Amino acid sequence: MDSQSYMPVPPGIGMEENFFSLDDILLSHERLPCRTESAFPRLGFLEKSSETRDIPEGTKMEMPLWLAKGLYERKRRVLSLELPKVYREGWRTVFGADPTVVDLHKMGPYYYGLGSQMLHFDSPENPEIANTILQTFIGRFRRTMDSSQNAYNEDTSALVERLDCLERSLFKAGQSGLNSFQLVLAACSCVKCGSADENDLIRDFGMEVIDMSLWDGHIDLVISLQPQLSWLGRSIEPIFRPRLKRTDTTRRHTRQKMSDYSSLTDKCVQADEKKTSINIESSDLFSSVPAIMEG
Amino acid sequence: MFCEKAVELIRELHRMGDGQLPAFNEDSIRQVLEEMKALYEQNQSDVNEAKTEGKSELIPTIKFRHSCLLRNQRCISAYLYDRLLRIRALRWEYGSVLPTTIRFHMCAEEMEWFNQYKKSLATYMRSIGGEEGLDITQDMKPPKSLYIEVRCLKDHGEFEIDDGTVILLKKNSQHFLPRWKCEQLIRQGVLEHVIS
Repeated sequence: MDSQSYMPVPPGIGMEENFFSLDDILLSHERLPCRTESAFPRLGFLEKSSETRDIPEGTKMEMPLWLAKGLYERKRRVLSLELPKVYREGWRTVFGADPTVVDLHKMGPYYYGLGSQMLHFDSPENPEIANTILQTFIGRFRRTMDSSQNAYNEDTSALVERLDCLERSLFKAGQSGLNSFQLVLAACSCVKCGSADENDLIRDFGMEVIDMSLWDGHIDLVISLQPQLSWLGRSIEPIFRPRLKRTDTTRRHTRQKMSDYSSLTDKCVQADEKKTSINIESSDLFSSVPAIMEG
Repeated sequence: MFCEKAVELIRELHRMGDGQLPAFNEDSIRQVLEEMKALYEQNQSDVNEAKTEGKSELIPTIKFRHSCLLRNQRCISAYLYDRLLRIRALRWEYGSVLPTTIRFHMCAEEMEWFNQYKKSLATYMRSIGGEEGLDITQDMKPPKSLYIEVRCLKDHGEFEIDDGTVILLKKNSQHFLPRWKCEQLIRQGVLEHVIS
């Protein structure tokens, strides 16, 4: 089944979880070592090691994150949490040295997610933890993005092996953008070489380019800059709209638009073949490219 | 630990990341609801005890059970919601009539929801695009495949495509080849695009 129509709730950003997100629910199921600072009467049966009716104060046990979040209180001492290894001083220096070599999938598949959630627990190391997570992400992002934009139609398992879940979803987004863009390029080249004409394009795509204002003839594509492709692919998709029932006026309108479109696609394909880069006239398409990419 | 059954439901859905709809797990939901009922009743009695006898040390336990109740609620809500998202996607993938295998995976309420969704979508489609309406669930993708059916018009010998396979182009043979590879040959008149 083509998964394009299924849009699950994505995980939350930063310290917030999305209530309905399956990823966030699984993330918050991770267990953390902790120490109870007050007693929990009548819950002794949960702690298999103790035979008592209650969980006494000072018990060391493992709690899932959701429970720790629910019980934690800043003022009263109910629970104290230990930081998992990966977020402690030792590992933080490793990440500081070179974030790209670490196997984040092994270090708990939800490195960024869990790290962000740990910030809820008011540890004195919070600023350092937050900073490390951020710098690790920045350090690894470029590589993830590059690999997702350059792996077309090949086995990507080696590339995603060492990525954590957030990076994997970014990788997947990049790949789907790349694939969409390749489909558009293939369609453009059909129009160019004449193996399909404009009518074919309309029939095959079943679409009509309605809003050509973006493609004024001033927009040239910087095809040589691979990272922009996925952004471009995602920008192109909304431009295509479903076919409208044609009246005479719309038919004329369409023909004019389609010939504008053909000349534009000519340029695209030429630029692609020569691997030239041309000046960007419109910054709208690329305004969403994050500053991270500069570095 | 509580709420393990509830997370199992979530894992079941998470395993099918591509949007397939698994069978409605009525059993698990029933068990989770029973666990919630038990937790709630225990908490009720403890709250009464804490109020009447002033046993404030029960409060951490009450909070504990309350967190478990919230967690179960979250899991079940997310399970049902995600299933609805998948069912909605089914309308776009399969059309108005669903294959029977999939229909068996839906519970009665989900079937009802699907019918209502179909109705809303149909009403919307009728209202746009002029008199006859517009079926926006058609033609959602660019050319269905990058491969086309071609027939060879003259003998051309061997032809290599990207993944290394070599095709022998003999007169009147038909092949299924990548579009961009055939373009030039089509222009030369060696191949002919077969529109079936």
